[in-house]
Amino acid sequence: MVQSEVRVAWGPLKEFTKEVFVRAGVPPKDAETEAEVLVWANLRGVDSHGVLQIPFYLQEVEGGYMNPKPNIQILKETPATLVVEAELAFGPVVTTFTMNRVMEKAKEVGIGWAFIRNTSHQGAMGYYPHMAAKEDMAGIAFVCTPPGMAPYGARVAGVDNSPIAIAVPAKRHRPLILDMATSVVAGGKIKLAIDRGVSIPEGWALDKDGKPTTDPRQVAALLPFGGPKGSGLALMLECISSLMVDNPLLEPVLLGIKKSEGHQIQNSVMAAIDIGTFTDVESYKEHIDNLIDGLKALPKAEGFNEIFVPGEPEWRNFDDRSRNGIPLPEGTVLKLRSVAERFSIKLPPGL
Amino acid sequence: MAQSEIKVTWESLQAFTKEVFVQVGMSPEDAETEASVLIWANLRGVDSHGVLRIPWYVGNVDKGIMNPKPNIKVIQETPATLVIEADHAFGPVVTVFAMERVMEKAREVGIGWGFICNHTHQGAMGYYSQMAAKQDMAGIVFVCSPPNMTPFGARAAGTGNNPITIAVPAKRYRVMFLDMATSVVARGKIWLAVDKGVPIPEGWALDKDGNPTTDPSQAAIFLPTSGAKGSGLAIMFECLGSVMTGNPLLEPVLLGKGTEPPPQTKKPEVKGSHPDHVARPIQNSVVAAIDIGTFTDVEAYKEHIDNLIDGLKALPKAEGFSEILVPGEPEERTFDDRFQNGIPLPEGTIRNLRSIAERFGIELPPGL
Repeated sequence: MVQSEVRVAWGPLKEFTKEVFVRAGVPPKDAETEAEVLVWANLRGVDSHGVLQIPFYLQEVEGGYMNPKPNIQILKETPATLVVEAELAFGPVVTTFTMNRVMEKAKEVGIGWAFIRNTSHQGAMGYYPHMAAKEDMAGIAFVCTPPGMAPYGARVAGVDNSPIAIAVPAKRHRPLILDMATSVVAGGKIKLAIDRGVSIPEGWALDKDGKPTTDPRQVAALLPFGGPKGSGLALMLECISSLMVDNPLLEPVLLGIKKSEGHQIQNSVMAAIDIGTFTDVESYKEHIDNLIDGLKALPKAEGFNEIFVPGEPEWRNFDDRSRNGIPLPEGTVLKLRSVAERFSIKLPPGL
Repeated sequence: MAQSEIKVTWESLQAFTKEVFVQVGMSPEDAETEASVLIWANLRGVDSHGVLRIPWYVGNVDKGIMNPKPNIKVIQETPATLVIEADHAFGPVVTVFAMERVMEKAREVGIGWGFICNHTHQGAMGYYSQMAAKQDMAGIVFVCSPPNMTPFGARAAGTGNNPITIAVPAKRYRVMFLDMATSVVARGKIWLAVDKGVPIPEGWALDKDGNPTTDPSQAAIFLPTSGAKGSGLAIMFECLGSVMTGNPLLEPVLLGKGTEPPPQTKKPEVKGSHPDHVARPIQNSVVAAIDIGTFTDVEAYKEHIDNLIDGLKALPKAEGFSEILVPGEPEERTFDDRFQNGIPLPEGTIRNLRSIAERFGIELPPGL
């Protein structure tokens, strides 16, 4: 049974979110960054990675798994690469910092490639490659966490559903942004189903006994897209991120050394490729426009009246929600009301 | 109905293959490289990317699409990147060269990232990522092709079934690597079905009119893995690869400018050459390596990979599975078997190789 939704304007929602994190001990500029990234997800309709995360983040802060005042350090640097120790910083804080440094390197040597150790949840990954696209670069990002997805052939979690995001700029069209989990669906969509009080389709997840389930509250492991393809990709992403910086996240859980407790410790890779180093930027963007036009003009498959390119549905949401406000399901609204009460902050109008 | 298969030693098959390519005009070193890469695929059981390709390649040389004597040039370079013009070189020849250059850069600055423009078929992509793994690096390669796969929501081709491969070294386990097309299956598996005389499952491909088919000889357009995910990845690879070097492969076809007919040739179509449904099978690639030693201890890294593999394989199995295999593992087992006991070839492939042998006056490997 789908519950009703209220709409709130993005500006006040962002202010509210920033204030929540300030009260939780985050410096104002960092709280602003965190709020920006969360509300960006809501604007694009990726509600699973938006303000519904607030209560979870506050819990993590209390538990010491998200650090409002981290000592972010660059551990290693070459002309093209860097390794950043996040010290459990809020994901958006350390990741925007890192992507900015990576873009500097891309401008110098064509590509910048960074590893981030021990960050907390970064929100919707697409935000960071999009930063690069806005600077006429191609952006690539992926992230690994402890196990939450069943490897192909297993009936319990053993890999992470590591998402990968890639963005490139266009001219007429908005930037192309791919942002996809290596699971059939992102974990946040399970949370969203719980918040909305709806069931999930078969084929998304397994329960703790390794059986397929349609009850989001029974989910213990997600399933990989394309079986061995999503599973294999997720596994290799761990090998080129966590293991590159001596911070394995799967191994300790697989070997029984650590229990997977749901704390969102992550290692991430952020990369940017400077378009101007390789080709003319304006031509590049025109080619992307032509590619988009060409794809959208193809004959449609049965059941489709439009062909969407990566990120396009989300841009439409962005435009609608920027103007008309962000709908929030009852579950999320209730949670935000609790948070507002706890910190004595005024809720945005509409809530 | 599956047909019988004959076995041949890998050495004799590689020598035969090398000789074929010397005959079409490649230098002996280049012919050796090409032969190694094809036989490597057969050894690993990736027969779709092995010697069954020979007639297709010979046909492409006839048509002027694959260049046995290319002028390969580095046209741009930075400390971390390079751009290589392949001049329609055989894929393995230019890609081995590119991966070697990229690994040099990785040793210097931690990562090397190379673009190859205008190359031809590379065989099984894992060969190249594995080169990096053997040098204690992570190897990443992805390829962009002209349209042969439906984008999500379309029923005509609009993107290539662009594969990606990632390889990392291990200690006990040798190497671990992923090599996957963004389509449900790689095109070569369709050709293998033709060679074996068997149908393909539903959900693999469409015919040229955009209708689902289970007849491999009618398969013209491939379907993306997981719909929007495989489709999205393939599109973004084109944006990161082809478009980054000003050499788009999808756009000309999508905008109706790239559908020129294949070049004419006086030679008859080579038997078993499985003619393409794209006019010019030219590709662009991105070849990358990340130097492990720049970031962490190499031995510790490889031990972590071993532990990871052990941990995954020890998990409770899903129904119908008696073992959990990691990327590349099934192929390693096939490799060990075929290295010792010879490579089986289906009748269709053998017939085609016999024609090739006849054409060039070369002796077939023993057993064929």
